Amino acid sequence: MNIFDELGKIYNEIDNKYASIEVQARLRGHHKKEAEYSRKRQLNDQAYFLFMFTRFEGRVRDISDSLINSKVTNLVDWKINRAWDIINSRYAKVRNYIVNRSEASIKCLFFTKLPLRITNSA
Amino acid sequence: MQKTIKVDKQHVEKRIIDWKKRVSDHYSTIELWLTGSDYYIKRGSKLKMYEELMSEFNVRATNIETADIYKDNKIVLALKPKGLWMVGANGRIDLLSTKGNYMLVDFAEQFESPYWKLFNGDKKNGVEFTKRSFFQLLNK
Repeated sequence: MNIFDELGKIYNEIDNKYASIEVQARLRGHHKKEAEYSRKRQLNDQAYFLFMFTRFEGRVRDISDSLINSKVTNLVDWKINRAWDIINSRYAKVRNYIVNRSEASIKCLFFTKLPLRITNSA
Repeated sequence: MQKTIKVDKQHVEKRIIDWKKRVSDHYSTIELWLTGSDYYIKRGSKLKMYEELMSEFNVRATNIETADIYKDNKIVLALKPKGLWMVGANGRIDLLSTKGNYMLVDFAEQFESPYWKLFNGDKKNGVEFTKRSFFQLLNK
């Protein structure tokens, strides 16, 4: 089972568990409890989305890093190579902004630091 | 060519009106389907609706209707609108029951006729929401 399946399974387990308690509370007319579990499900949704999105972001980052690095390293014609060099330095600034932002969001949500790879500095 | 939509307070308000109408129409459709069966639908308590875009454009919080489906005077299924602004969808309604949990997702474009799909607990493999799929769910 890959990480996406694993995360999806855990997300569904939590969601179904809370949904089941939420509906029980509704049947009994316990509206405060119902709202409480609905809110917990919403937070679970958001946490799952953020987790998946950071994985996706990481994948895009890795692929673009490897493409830019290979162009910078392998191109011998300096005219073309220069263009990739410019992309490299501009991209690093944008990329680090995204990484820092994601890291901050994750820290807020999970109160823990996840191992995000930062290779270049702006 | 895809048209560009300007998102402002007016647009957000228009989408909320559209969402409430789609939800209400949906309950009416279900009501029609249930006519003559052992089940009946009752519009229930209202839920507060205050999503991120509403806060961003200073749109006041509002309420949206929920509904319950009864059999022998007992709730067998609760319909609760979960949210309008969903990634990749035009709104979602949760269907909660003691037998399992499902969700209805509208895949239509903004302001177009809704296209509801029903998903089961694992949130995969949605099927078109029809009278048949609805009764299959109820009779589980």
